[in-house]
Amino acid sequence: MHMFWQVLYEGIIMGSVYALLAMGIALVWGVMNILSFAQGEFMMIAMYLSFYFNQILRLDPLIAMPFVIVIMFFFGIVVYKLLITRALKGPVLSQRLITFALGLILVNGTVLLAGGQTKTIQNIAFAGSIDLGLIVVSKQKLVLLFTSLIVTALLFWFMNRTKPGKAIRATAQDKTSARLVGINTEVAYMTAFGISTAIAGAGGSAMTYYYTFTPNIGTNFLIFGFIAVCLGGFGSIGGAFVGGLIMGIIDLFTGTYFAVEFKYLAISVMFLLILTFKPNGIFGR
Amino acid sequence: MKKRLVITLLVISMFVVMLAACGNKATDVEKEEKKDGETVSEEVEKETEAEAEVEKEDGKGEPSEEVETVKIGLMIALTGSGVQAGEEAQTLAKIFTDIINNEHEGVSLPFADSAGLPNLGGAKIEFVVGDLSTPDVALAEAERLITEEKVVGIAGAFSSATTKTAMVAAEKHGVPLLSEGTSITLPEANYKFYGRSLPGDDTFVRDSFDYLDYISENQEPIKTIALVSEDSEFGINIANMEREFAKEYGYEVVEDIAYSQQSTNVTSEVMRLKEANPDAILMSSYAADSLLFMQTYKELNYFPKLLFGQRGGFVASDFALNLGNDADYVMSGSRWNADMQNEAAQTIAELFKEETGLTLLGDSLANVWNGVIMACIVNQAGSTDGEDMRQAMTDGLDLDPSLDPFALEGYKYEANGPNVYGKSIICQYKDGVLNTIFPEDSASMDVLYPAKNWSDR
Repeated sequence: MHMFWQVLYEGIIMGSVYALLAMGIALVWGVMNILSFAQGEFMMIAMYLSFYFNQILRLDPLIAMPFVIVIMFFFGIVVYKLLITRALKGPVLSQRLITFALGLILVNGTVLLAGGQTKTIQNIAFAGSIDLGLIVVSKQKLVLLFTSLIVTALLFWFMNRTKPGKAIRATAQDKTSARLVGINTEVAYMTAFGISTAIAGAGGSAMTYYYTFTPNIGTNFLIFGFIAVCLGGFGSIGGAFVGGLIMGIIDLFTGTYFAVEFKYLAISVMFLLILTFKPNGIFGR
Repeated sequence: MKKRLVITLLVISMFVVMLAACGNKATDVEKEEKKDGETVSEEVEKETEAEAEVEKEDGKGEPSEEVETVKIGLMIALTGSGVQAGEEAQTLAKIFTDIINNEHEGVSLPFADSAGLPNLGGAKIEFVVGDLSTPDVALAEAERLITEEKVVGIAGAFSSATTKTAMVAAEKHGVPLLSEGTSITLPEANYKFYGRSLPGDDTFVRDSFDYLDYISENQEPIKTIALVSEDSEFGINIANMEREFAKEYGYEVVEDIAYSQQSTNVTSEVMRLKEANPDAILMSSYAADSLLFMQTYKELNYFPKLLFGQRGGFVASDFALNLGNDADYVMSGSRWNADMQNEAAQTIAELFKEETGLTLLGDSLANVWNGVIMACIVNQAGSTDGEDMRQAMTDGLDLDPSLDPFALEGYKYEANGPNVYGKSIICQYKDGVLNTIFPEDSASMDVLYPAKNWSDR
């Protein structure tokens, strides 16, 4: 029975990691219909920023996180201004591929600048595990869980309670009508893209607490981020979070109680079933 | 109007007749070929052979005296997870190029006492880098190195999968390729121009079971084992052999896990292992996944009495660099280790440390050492011709063992590739450093067994 609770806890943790990635993808897709293939690489860049903050300024990744978030927000805005605005004017295919190409550049650029060696941040503030009897709780993984919960809550608050958030939602619903009521849709797009890279910033910083990383780490996570978005509902931020949690729980339960070889198969079957019976995802409209 | 219609119909019927004639012609050619018992591919093969003959006459088989530079292909990963190993290989290649091309007194490495390759009139060597990030890239790059760069042989950081594709180009052009891809399927393929200087999976895996027996006889016995392997060819082949050897040596396999090396978490894998609680875990993993496993073992406060890595990530420089003392107690088979008591090993380890600040590891050295062996092959053959080089490989190389960092008895390649003198060692981490523990005459420390769990360290 102990094992059941441990598996459930680990599933929720893993789901929260997928959710961190999925929310950024869902936001960009929901607002501007662009699939952000570079979201995993944005997260990777954030991990390297946290690493260098730690190496040069001796900052713990949690302390460095606000700085990384701000840097990533402005990085997102630069990417939007330089690449996305132009791609939005082009055919659908170039809109799809532009972030894919950007991802490749970011991976190989990081290899050139930082090298391909696996990196890790060893001097972190919260390390080790707490044995609660029923479950063993890893402090590093708690950082991941809390970051995911806080980012989700802040994103909900921003999108539902603030003017820029409401402007983004209005633009997502109907760009022309939003313009007619005086919303600067260009700024709304730019802010949404900046927020999605900032989310990757928060996720990347938190992930350095647990993961060792190379320039390729984003690629491994990206596919799970996409599946979470599809499961939860295209463009739904809450859906992306729930989609991530579902995946994490299926992953851990299948791997532990059935066979490790089947865990990704189980996720894929669930993905196919949901897309067959609810093509827009669980929370999609 | 009628006139136009008639002309159009005439033109169309002419086209139809021409097309039909072409079709018949093609069919006739095919029939003729089949009648002669040959196919188009056979004709292409003949053409390729003829081209190869022309190439030989054009200079590939030139007498040794006229060769100024001998180019050797060094294939490494330029993207993906093998980038770090690739960077280390390039540094090593730079060191060896300097040693071979210039005179270095008192250095115990091949060609150090001469400038260039003596049997080829002092020809210099040059390593030409090619990419082998994926099997298809490896094929294209091997082809480029041979046809455009005119390399006489190829070495590099090959996996078994990239060896198989690169061998297509090597066999086609008759260029020797030395690879440390350890899969048993490579010698089974009976390639003509393939060679492997160091042991293959079968030797490594058998040695690991011999060691389990050795430790069981001398210390706390091992009865149950768990097998954990990544699910590409590397891991699958090793797991297959481990299952067979487990039966042969009488160990009970209590857990058998195959996982993806791109896994974002291995929590369920470790929880299954913790539940099964084997005496020893045998793992075949790459760098990133071996680190993820170690992280998860620690987080779930679990470590077996003995953890044996089948090389791969466990002997990569990233392993100790990222884990530090957390790497302690992990054992692995290896081809070479920096603490081996031989002068050539110490020399190259020091030169590498001076250049990079990193500890040289066996796998990195093996990949580039094959490039040096390729230089020995060309030198001994006295020719850059593939057939002559293959003959030199089969005859055995005249290499002084005191100049060999791997301290092998020799280099004599069987017809299907393996070096008959290949042998392995067993190492263990202590204080974040890999130390040789077996065989006893090469050991620099006693084994740490049984391993302590994390909370007791």
